[in-house]
Amino acid sequence: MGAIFPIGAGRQYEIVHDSIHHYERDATRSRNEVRLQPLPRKGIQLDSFRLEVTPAAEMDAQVDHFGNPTWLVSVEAPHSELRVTARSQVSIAEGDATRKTATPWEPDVLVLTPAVEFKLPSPRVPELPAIKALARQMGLAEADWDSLLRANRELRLQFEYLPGSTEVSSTLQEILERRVGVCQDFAHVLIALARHLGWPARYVSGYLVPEAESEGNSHAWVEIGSSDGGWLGLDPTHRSETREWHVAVAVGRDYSDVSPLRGVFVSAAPGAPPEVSVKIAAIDPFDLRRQLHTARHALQDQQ
Amino acid sequence: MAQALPNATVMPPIGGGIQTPLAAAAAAAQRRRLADETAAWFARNQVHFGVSIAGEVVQRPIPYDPLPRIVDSAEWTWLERALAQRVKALDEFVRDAYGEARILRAGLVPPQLVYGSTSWFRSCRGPAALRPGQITIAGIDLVRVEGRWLVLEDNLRVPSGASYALASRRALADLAPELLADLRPRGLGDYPRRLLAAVQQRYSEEGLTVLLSPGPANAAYYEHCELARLMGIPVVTSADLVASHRGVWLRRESGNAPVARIYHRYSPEYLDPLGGRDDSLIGIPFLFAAWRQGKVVLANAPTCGVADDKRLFPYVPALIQYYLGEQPMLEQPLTIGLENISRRREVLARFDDFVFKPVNGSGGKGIVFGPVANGEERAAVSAALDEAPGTMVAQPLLQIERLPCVASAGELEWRRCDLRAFVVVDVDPWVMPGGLTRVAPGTDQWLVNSSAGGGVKDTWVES
Repeated sequence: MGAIFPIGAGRQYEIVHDSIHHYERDATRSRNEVRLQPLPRKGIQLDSFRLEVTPAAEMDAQVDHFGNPTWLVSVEAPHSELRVTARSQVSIAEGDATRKTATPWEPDVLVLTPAVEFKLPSPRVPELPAIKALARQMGLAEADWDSLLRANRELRLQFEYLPGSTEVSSTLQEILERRVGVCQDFAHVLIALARHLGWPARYVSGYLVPEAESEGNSHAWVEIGSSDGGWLGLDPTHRSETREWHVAVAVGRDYSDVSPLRGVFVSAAPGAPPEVSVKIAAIDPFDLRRQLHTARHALQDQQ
Repeated sequence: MAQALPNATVMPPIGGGIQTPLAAAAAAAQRRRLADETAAWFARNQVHFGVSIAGEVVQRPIPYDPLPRIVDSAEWTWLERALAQRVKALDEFVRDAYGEARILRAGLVPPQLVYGSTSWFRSCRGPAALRPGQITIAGIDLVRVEGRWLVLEDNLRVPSGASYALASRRALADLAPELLADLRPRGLGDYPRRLLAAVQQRYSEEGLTVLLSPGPANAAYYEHCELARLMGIPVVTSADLVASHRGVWLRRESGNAPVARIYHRYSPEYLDPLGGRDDSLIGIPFLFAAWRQGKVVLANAPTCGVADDKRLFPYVPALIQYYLGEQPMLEQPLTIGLENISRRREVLARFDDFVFKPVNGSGGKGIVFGPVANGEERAAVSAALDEAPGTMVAQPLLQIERLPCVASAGELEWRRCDLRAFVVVDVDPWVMPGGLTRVAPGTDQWLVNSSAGGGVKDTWVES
């Protein structure tokens, strides 16, 4: 996560998400599910998307149960390294700064709608007594939007933000005991609190678009289902509601539904965690060289 | 607590009065000889079922009792209709659970039985999950209690046992043909052809039909090889197959050959590590991707597990009414959820009247019968329920029908038996005219499961 900068209206950005998987011994075959394509949202337009895979792979774009574009990537040739690069160009219009309110649910209505899927416990967000205790300690009321907004603002007072303090595999129970975490962990805690308070809540993975060119802005936040339809975004890491600079890539019940790359490979040795880098840059509308480059890519896509 | 069965229906005609010729007339010595000869036949033909002993699967001949169960033809005709009705409704439910989930919107089934089920795979949503015929083969476990047939369990993931029914009949045909000539029960030999036709009737592209087995360590490996032989299709394991979103291929030295239809013998969560359990070492990555796009047929479809979860079982009569608009024909025992603390206390206070079943178990594992449970087992059930109340259900203990079996000296002893009926769904459901009668391993035993040491006997439907 990084600091939020206000951004100008109608700007275009390029997001390059690069991950390299090294194998100790050659992998003879691999199958991967890739979720790295930004979702079109209000005010956010996906202008182009390219997925580059080395070595050469067979690819197919599908849409998963949650509506996330999911790329299926099959590699047949032996390889010691798998590199997956996602290049997205998005246009972001100036967002609407007016506050929105989610309306609470009648429990017996919620169970009859598809939104109930996000109210039930999920693999990474089980029902825990510690969540009940936290809600009580923070004085949060059930089915009350203001309470939830307060939980979003005050969660960080309960937890220390400490990069590297947790791992992708850390459980909710561990986070609650150690009271440290990163954006992924805060999102899981807020989801657990919201569900406990009667709200359907979902996990969103994506990017935070900064004003200036910078490194690494993969991010995670939460969306709350409103009984009048629609989902409202809360970012407990930044103690704010989400804005147009939150570019969503995938939604799910929790992290387990949205991992950017899930794969299986055939090899004599296990793999290591991937090297990941994310670069986000504003596109200069007068940079003709880049535009030509983009046009050439578009042409290749058509061929 | 003593409530009426939830769906009292028309009583089936009763045919329980018929005795087998052997049970009635033959002398003890004759019975003993037939029991020994048939046991030797099972050993010689390696009709094996794997039993787990100290963590190792040991393949051994399945225990066989030579006295067949006899069901009269009118009773069987009624059962055929009742089973077809049940399987039809279960198939409707599977497709609905992966489609619009109308039954959840109607409030007839709690949403956690779909969205919270570990057998409802989000990765299987897609066009293939909406096609009729998700179920190709169902194994419905029935018991007879005071002359009425009740369903105890629906097996839709990998119903095993048909080959043991076929072997039971062949053993008698080889060793006691005069018995069969007397009563002329309906033949079972059509089963492999019917099953193959049902698998091949499902829409797919051009390619091979194979049986996919988890391998020789599986308890029912005999069955995998035997059914494949009778169906005329090869047995393959995961190492032989490769999948992508475009389809599935059999790896051969001469090059990969497209596979169009897979009769698989996997618990479906192990089929694809990217679509089901990510710790599956026997899975084929992207098998679900190929399946959901209609590139390959899986029989049964990997979707079916959502309909044989024990927590769903109490709702099956409601499914039949909702999807078919019919009264359920088969009754089933009351199944009591134990999440509610006062109900849990009430049930535990009358421990001897109930049987306790883990919601996610199979093969009889973890089942506790009230009257025969010792102090330790009782305490374990209570503790498990306090820890996780949703993991077990209780059913009133039934006086399950006992059938005559050959004891050690050839005398008769009466053991509890159930009947696994096999329903093959082609365009219409077809019920194997017989099925597998499973026999408890002793007169004081309750469990009939083969993995709990139970045996089998032949089932004769009068023609």
